[in-house]
Amino acid sequence: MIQNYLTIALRTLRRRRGYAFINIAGLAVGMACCVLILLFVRDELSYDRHIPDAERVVRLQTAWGGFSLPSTNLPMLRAVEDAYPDLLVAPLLNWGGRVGYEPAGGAPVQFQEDDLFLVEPSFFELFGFEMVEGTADVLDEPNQVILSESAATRYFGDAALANREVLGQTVRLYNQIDATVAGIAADTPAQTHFNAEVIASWSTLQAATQWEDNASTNNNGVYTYLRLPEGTSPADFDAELATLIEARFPGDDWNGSTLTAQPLLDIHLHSTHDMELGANSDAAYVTLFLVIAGFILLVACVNFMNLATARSADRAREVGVRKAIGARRGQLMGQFLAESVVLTIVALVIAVTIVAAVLPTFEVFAGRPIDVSLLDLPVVGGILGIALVTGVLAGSYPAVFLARFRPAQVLRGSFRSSTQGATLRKGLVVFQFVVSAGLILATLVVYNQLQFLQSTSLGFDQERVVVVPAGTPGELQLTAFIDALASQPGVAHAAASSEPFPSELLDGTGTFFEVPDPDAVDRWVPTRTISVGHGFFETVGVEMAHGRGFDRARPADSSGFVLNETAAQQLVELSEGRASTMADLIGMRIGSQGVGPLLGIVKDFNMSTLHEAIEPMAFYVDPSDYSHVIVRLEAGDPAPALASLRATWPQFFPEHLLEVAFADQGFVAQYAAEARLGRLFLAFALLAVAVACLGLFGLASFTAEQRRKEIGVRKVLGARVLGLVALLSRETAVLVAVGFGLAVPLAWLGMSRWLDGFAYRVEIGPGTVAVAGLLAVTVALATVSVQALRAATANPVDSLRSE
Amino acid sequence: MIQLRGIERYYSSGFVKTYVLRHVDLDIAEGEFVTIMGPSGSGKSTLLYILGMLDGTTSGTYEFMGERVDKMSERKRTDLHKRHIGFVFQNYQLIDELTVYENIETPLLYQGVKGGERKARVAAMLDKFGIVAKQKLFPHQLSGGQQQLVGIARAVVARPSLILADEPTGNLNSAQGEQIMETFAKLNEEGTTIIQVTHSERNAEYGNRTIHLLDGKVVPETQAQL
Repeated sequence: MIQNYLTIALRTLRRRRGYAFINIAGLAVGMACCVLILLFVRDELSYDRHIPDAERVVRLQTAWGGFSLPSTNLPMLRAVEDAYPDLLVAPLLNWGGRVGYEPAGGAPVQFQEDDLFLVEPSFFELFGFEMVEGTADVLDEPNQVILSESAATRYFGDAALANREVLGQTVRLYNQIDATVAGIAADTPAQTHFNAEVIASWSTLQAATQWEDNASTNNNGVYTYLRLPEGTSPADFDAELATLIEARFPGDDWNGSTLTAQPLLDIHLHSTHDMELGANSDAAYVTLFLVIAGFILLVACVNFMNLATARSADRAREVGVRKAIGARRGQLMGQFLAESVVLTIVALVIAVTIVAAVLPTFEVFAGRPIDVSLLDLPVVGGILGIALVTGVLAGSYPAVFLARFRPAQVLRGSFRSSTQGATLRKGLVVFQFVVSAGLILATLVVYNQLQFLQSTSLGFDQERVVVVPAGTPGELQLTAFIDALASQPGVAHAAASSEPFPSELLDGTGTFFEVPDPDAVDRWVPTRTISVGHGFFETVGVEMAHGRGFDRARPADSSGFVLNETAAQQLVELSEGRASTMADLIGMRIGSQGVGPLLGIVKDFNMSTLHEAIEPMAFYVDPSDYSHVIVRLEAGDPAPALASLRATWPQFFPEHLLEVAFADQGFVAQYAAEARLGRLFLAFALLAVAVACLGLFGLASFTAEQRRKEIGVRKVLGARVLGLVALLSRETAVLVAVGFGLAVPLAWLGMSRWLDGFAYRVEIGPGTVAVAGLLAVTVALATVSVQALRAATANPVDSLRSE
Repeated sequence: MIQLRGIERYYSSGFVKTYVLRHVDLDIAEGEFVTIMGPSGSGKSTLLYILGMLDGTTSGTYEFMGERVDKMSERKRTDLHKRHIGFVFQNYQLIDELTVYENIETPLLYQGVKGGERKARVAAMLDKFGIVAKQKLFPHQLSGGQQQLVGIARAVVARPSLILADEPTGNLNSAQGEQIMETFAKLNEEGTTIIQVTHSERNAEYGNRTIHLLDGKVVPETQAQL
């Protein structure tokens, strides 16, 4: 029986090639889309699952109201270790810095390592990372380093790694600590929420700096991972942590934060702390992509349903005959389902080919390699599952529809089935264009917003601003470098800063009016603090609104402050009448980083991305906090200025590698996620529109064929081609317009929610909506009118005679 | 074998009822060869489809081998139909995508006949109707007469006790038509009950009883003979 079904399915497809092509192409694209997205989603969901007992591993997280960190502090770590001696605890510090190596007789190599970790030996046990050479035990001793394979290659080259010459070499951390390479670890699996390149023993840092001696509950940079015992849920452990804090840190000994256990498996998709170890993803996007992939597949299924039911007259006679020779309805449904499954399987083969072809491009979209061996059991199962679901989904309605025909009706007289199911067909076309037009609109909104983000003024001229990370050099050295630089050709200004551009602005404190007893401060403006050098505002290119900036000629200025307008305005509001305007504040003594006079108020400018509104900011002068040099180049070719920067740098910092970043590029890079989303939406929209139009094309050719006689009669009666094309296209225009009408509110709601994630956002105006609508209708009409035109220009004699 | 009592069939559109069959009483015994005649639109085909259980009645009772067909579920009716009834159509109604062999085999597939027996029975049919050489051809490669032979073979392969034929020679030339009618006569001799619808007096002569229909009513035999 099955064999009979398959035989007839294949012969039917061969006979109706055009019809089969439209269906197979649509389904192949839809399934390819689905498979890609599922691979991507599977990849997203696989994060950190390779870690042993991953479902029991948690990370301690700290929250103060809206501000939160994925880490805790050293006293807390020690308290946990004391209280639970049997617990597997892996603390780690992520202190990025310079790592250098001087080969005998060769030029020194130095790298800025952001993925430099200081860990206890338990690190390898908890995370289960593999060692390639040496053992993790070396981490018991200070001044021992384990390099990842790729880091080892970077420092010592492939040959040294292959010849096992890396172990025993010495590298210099932070320009001051010498450490022995005692092991090579396999690279951190890509599906891990962080990437460890250089792994130094925890005691290395303690031996060099004794930092632990001064660590308080206010230094929350200790990332702490635990493997909870079986049967203990993170929530159970939260309660125990609260009890532990009460017992060990009574009153002011604790920092006022809430400490909880964050499940390891939640990190990649659900964690949005400041100071994450790597860029995380967002579960909302994963869901969104899944939904869109599902919709594109549905659009393709709709094509199948519509064409199958529209062309049902072809099959009606066969249904009648089969019933007359004893077929039951169920058997007929089985036959038609088998047909759609065959079609789907052909489409699947093409889809898999498409996936294999576009995977490299897709990986660029996704920003990382997607782990696919297409021979994986779950992958194969998933793909076959998609095919089966698609086949049944697309085939079930036509099967029921066709198997319902009554033989007495279809075997005798003139049976016209095209009118049957026409309403549903129209509904499904509307659905296709809800999806397509919705995606078009969403794409336009994303691109509008992206354009807006990149063109909106940050309050200063970001062009020709260069940021140079300088580590933590001494004040004199830095000042000398800046002075030397300022006199170079092409350099307009240069100044030191504790923050780069763009910056996450993590340092903060309250700003308040000075009171005799500092403990009695009860009202303050929460501000971000930035330590700046003289000439900073000139370099950045922002003007003072009131007062003045820091003056090098006035040493007393080093205890003063400059606020931005946002901070000043908020300070006015809590001044209880002491100041009625911002200008009144100038000269008042305020507290922030220390206490001193307010020298000036600078106009608002944005140092972070436009996701955030401008926060209250307080600027102060403290050379020990400087970590970057900001340089403004003069207009024109930046090359000479950069050349002099490169020439000047080694004179002052011979051991440091020079890194140069343009601020405007930095800001653009901050919107990489949005740019990626835009590209994905664009791809989705194009696919959905293409598949939907493929279906329209099929339906239009069918309608044109059906109305051949009518068109012939009309032409004989004097109708003109244009009028006939309009007649044939009108219905499609209406359906697409209705689909678009329904898509607008849906897309508007969805995209408004997305835009709410930005402090600075575009509005979805009638212009955008109109463009999207026009696009959808135009593309649809262009598709349909090809067929309409062909039908309308045909010689009426042919169609009338053939009856 | 067949007993129709007060069979009515009408379509209603709005308040107007259009009758196709009115109060038809009919008895057909096993082994008969019955011809239904009448002008176009008299309801002959409808009656045939009702007898074949491919169409329903509006009212009246239909007993087939002692069972009430009009009250049966669709599934049971299909089962009864496929065990006892073979259908032959005016325009053959072969399935274009299937070969001669496959067309004849299909009813057996629907009856769940096992592979070996199925082959034997199809082969027997090919042999009986002299179309062994054509078994791998598709319907469009055959002449009309050959197609109708395949149509009959397909109807007979399931060993029905009743064959219903709707103008089986309507699309054939007279020589082909005669061959088909001879075939029916032979099947009837072998014990199969046959009911045919035809316009042709000559075809009617092969039968042993003729029923005349006019405007959906059976014309009494005395009147028909006038």
